[in-house]
Amino acid sequence: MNTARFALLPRDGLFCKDGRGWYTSDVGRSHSYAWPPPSTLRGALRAVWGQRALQVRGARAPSAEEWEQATQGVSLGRMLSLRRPLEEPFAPRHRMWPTPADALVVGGRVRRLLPRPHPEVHTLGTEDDDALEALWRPMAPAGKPKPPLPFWTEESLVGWLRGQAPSSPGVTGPERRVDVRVTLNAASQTAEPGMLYQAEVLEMLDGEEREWALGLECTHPGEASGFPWGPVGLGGKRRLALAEPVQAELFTAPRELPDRSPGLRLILATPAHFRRGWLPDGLEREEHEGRPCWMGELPGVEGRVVLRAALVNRPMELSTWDMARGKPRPTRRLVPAGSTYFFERVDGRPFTALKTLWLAAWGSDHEEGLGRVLPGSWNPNEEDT
Amino acid sequence: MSSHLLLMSLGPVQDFIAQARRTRDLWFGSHVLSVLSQKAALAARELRAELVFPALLDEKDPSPSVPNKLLVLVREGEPRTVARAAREAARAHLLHWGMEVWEKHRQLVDDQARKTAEEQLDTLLEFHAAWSAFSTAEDYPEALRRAEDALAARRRLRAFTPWAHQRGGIHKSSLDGARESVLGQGERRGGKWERFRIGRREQLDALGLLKRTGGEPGQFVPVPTIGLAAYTALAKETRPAELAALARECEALGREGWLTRVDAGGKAWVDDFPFDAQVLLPGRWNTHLKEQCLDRERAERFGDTFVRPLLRALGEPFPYVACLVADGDRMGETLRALAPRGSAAHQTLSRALSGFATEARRILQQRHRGVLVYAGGDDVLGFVCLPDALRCAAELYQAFASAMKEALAGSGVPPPTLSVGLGVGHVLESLGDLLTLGRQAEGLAKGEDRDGFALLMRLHSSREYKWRARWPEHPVEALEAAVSLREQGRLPLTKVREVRTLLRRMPSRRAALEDEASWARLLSNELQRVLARVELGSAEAGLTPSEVGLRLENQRTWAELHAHVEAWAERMSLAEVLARAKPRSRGATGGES
Repeated sequence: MNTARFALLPRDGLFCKDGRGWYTSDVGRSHSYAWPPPSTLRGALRAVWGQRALQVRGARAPSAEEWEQATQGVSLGRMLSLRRPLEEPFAPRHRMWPTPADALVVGGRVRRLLPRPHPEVHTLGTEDDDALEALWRPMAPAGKPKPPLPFWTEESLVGWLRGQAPSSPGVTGPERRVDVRVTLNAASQTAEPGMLYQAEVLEMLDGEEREWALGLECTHPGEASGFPWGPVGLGGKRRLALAEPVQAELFTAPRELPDRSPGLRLILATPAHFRRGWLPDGLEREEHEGRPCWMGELPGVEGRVVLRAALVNRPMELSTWDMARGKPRPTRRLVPAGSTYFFERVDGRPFTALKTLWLAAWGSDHEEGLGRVLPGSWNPNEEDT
Repeated sequence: MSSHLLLMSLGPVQDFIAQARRTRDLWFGSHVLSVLSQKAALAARELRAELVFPALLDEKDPSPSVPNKLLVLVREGEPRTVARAAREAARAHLLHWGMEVWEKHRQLVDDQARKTAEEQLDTLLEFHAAWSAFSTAEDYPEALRRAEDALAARRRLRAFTPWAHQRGGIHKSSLDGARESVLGQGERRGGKWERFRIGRREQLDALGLLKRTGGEPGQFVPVPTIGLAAYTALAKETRPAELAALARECEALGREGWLTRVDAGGKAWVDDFPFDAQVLLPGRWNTHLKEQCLDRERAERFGDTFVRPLLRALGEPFPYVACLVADGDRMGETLRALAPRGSAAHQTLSRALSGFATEARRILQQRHRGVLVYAGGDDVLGFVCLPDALRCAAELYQAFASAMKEALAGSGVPPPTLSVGLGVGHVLESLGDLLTLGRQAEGLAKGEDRDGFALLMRLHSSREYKWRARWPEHPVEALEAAVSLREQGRLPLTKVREVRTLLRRMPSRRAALEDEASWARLLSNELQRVLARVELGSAEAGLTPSEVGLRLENQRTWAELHAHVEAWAERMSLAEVLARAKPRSRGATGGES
């Protein structure tokens, strides 16, 4: 297997339609994901690989199985959101991260949500689950929280992983614009009367003379110098994205990352697919300190751990399209990026190798770039936000 | 002996309601949530819990407006048992309701999808509850604070499980894009497919099916009928014969099953034209009637014979509608401030809010040409025709202020205010998108300092205008004055465009300027020059900034001046659209600037 590292720069905006189709209104409006799901990117790269394989092999159209087999070795590894001033080469300082779920903006300041046990006030959820209700909960600071901005800069995130609140509440994502188009009559090549349709497009150039891009680490079978060999058709209507080679350094862990911590905080950098929904794979229901809990071993994490708290928003419902078979796939319910989990070691010892968890893969469907985590420090005894 | 204060929330609210393509999807989605909250509250009451919020609950009300957050006092028994009973009552009701619809409309569904449908219905509800014990009246505020904090913290974990009953290879719902469609795969012609206006390529999951088919087709006023209400009222007044002929023909098409007569449901203005008014839009009567499988020739004849005479007399209708979203400001603070007076004070406030909800219905549906979707607690959601929207918003604000003043009299607690947003979009947009506009407008209205009004307009060309002011600044009067300027032709649109161009050429609002005063002077002078210049062929004298509502002298910094002028330009552009939205007997042309 070989690894290619490059940034994709959409040149005409980006449009990744969600599962609703075009029939959301009488005026034909589609809706786009807020940020391209990793699966869309892998799909685009598989298409590039498959088309090259076809060119080499000859004219016969492959069956769905042949296409699947020829392209399944193309996998997405670590995936980054990037934003740089125009013309600058990509560097780690240009990385952008999903806003962590343990951050809250109140009164213009970013505050940390620190979970603690609260046995005196009881709760009940959608299902009866005493282990879930026994999880620690964060107490929010007084005041009405503002909706979070979707992205954080590298500087803000690195400080956050060390337990320091950033001064900025974050960065708004790329602007959205609505493209209004007409349906053409295939026979006459003229516009069909009244057949307007509208697509939500992410505009990747922002008003501050910066451009958004996607940094990708992609493994592929065999030698393939220069992959992806030119512009890539990406998302709806296969809008063109240029590929620009980047250095391996772009994906490496920052030096300032903490290595030791009494507790472990894992933040999802990309959505994750777990077997049981919100609950990370590897944890089982047990008893700890006389209370029901989830315990187990996690990939790359030292010792047995107990889940102390989880901050998870509603699932990201990913409904993808099987291009080879021309059919929709079943919907997967993913834990959204930014979700945060808090762990302690069962033996009470600290975690001493946080850096090895930098963008490690968690859950299933790693080949689609899902389940990459960011390790952060956490002091389970800390209460003050 | 200690009691417990139990706080429960049911969801999802905003996302679930917004998943709507047609009017009935939105109406019924909101209705479903209200009914589920009602069932949960009734189940708690059956276990002898005392309702605090909402204090009033009419179990016989078929269209309840019950908020999704319930506060109850559990004086005896286990609060966990009460919470569990409330949750299961809501969940069981939804499953039963959804499967009842399934059985009733077997023509529409795929039998193979039954398990998928059951799973979709059974997993929709998000329920969270938290409770805290207290012994004396003095402990009540602290118990409320603890329960509120615990509920907010608990809601930060939305536990979910994967779908277990998907079939694969099935399209997803056009409403939510995630759940598999449960509709049958065969040809969709005639019968219920047309009655419930399920498009040939539209997909619905079990919840979408419930929203679309749960009510009767004529029960919901289509959004185009609301948006064009001022137009049909003018038609009735000035062209009664033509409108009557059109209505008779619609009635005839209705008898043959091509059109559905709308049940006015006590809204007198609907009777002016009780049909889907999109048949009045050029280019739409063909499409709309063809969707109902009427042949092209007859659809064209319908338009030429019955609609075009009206269009010739009144011009084309302006096809936009306002989604009104209002929300009480700092209600949480008001509840906390009242807490030392105990649960009775909360119940008094809750009753006042129920009264306001009734008044909101009257204001939207009787005083103005609108339809209320939901009014529960301090939340109001509705649609209103554009020419009525500003006054409707102002009356709601006044009604809320009066209700709160009365409820809180003598308590020493300052009455909360109401922020109102109007999101304006095309009448053929999906209801979900119109609702999003309304909610964005509400967010803008609230701003940092609350007590606000905002107007946000998205034209079909994708152009967007927005403007916000606080209620004490009299925003409705300011907009009406701007509309008058435009109607009188005193302020040509070219001048507004010129001001926008001028702003673009100046340093940005955030620019750090060394000579700020000079830039401010330059901008003020240029504005005065643009406004004072007399246009060729105009008999009018030039204008001064104060005549057009510009208060240049009050702006202390470059940023303030820039923001003030920018907001003025937005207000004038909105006024232009509002002026065009008023139907007139002659000369109205519709379209966009």
